[in-house]
Amino acid sequence: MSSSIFKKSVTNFYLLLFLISLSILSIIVDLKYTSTNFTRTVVNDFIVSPIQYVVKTPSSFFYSLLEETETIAQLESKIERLEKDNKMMKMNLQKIDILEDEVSRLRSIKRTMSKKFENIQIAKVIQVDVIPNKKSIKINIGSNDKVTMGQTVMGANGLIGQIVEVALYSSKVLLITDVNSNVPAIITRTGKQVIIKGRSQDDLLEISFTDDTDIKSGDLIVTSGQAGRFIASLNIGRIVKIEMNEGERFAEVVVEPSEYIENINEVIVTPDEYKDK
Amino acid sequence: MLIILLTLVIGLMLTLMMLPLGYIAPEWILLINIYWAIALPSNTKMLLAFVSGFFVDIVLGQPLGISSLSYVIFIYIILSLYNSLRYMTVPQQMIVLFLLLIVKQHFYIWTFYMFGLNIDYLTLIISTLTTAVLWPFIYFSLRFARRKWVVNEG
Repeated sequence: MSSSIFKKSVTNFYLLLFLISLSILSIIVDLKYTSTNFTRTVVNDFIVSPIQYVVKTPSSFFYSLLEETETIAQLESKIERLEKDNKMMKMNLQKIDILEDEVSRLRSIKRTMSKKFENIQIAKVIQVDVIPNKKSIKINIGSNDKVTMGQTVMGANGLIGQIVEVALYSSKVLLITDVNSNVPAIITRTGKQVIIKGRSQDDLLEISFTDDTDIKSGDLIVTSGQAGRFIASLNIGRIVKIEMNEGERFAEVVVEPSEYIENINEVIVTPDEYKDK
Repeated sequence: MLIILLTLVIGLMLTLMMLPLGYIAPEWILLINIYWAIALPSNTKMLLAFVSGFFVDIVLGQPLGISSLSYVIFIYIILSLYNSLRYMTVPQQMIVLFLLLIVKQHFYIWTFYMFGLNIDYLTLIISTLTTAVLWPFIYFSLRFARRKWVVNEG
């Protein structure tokens, strides 16, 4: 019988402290100089690998046991991943659709812009502020020149207004910068239909609409030809300022007209046949 | 002495076999160390626990010394309780071992988090249960080995 069984105490406290400090030291050393350890590679190569070689068959048994349960989870996660990819691709396809719409819209605008307007009449402005309380001009052609009510009046750069009164040798044009003037328009980039109104304080236009999504400074606004009021695809202006006021429900969008409306000398009166009725 | 080392090698083989089980696998090396600490108590068993803890860390890929830290403290506690543990029946030893293992596993998880590593906290329950349950098996098989190849020192 070993005499150690009858010893008073078999433990040496100082050995414990020494071994504890040695372990802590080894943990710190191992964490600092990461895993390309000499001892690890030596022990792995000489001791662990032969054991692993001997042991491979039973462990592969355990691996195959676990593989059965893992495959279903793997398949499920793969399905989830593929569904997510599918969704992303469909979203990207939608973007392509929007871009295609925008491109075709821009192309059609370009087409109608380059359409040669025949039967247009060029008129001179003979009087400004002709209608009281409304921004308007008087032009020097009238019903004698086959001018009818509602004809679109534009300048070389963009839309100016609409004919509201026809006399024999003159007509009155309501400018689009008047507060009573509502022009159905469309934002070329997004295709959003808006209504352009005049502002009372200056010679700019404004749009008011509730959702302030997807409108940027610099967007081009053209007529949409809705309701047959104006000819479609005429340049109106560009957005210069977007003011989002937190208290009010509408964002104030200011459009600068392409045509310099304050000082017009000549206008182009286009006949009605170019309107979409 | 060689028998002890041989049993430790067999324990290492068992650990390698059960690596895919993760923390469900019992800690064979610890159990073998406990048996030899009860059977032949001496200070060399603490050194044995330290060295075998290193091997367990290499096999499991953990920073060298984490398991050996907890093994050394555990074997020290077992050696100081040696006088009571030796005369309990095996189920009683199993229960005592289970409670001590919970404490040891707390300490083990604590050192993991202290050094900035992550460990699944579930190891506290599951690995202590599987380890404690296997104690009678280790006890009887190693007692058989000790008696057959008469191991008296070491």
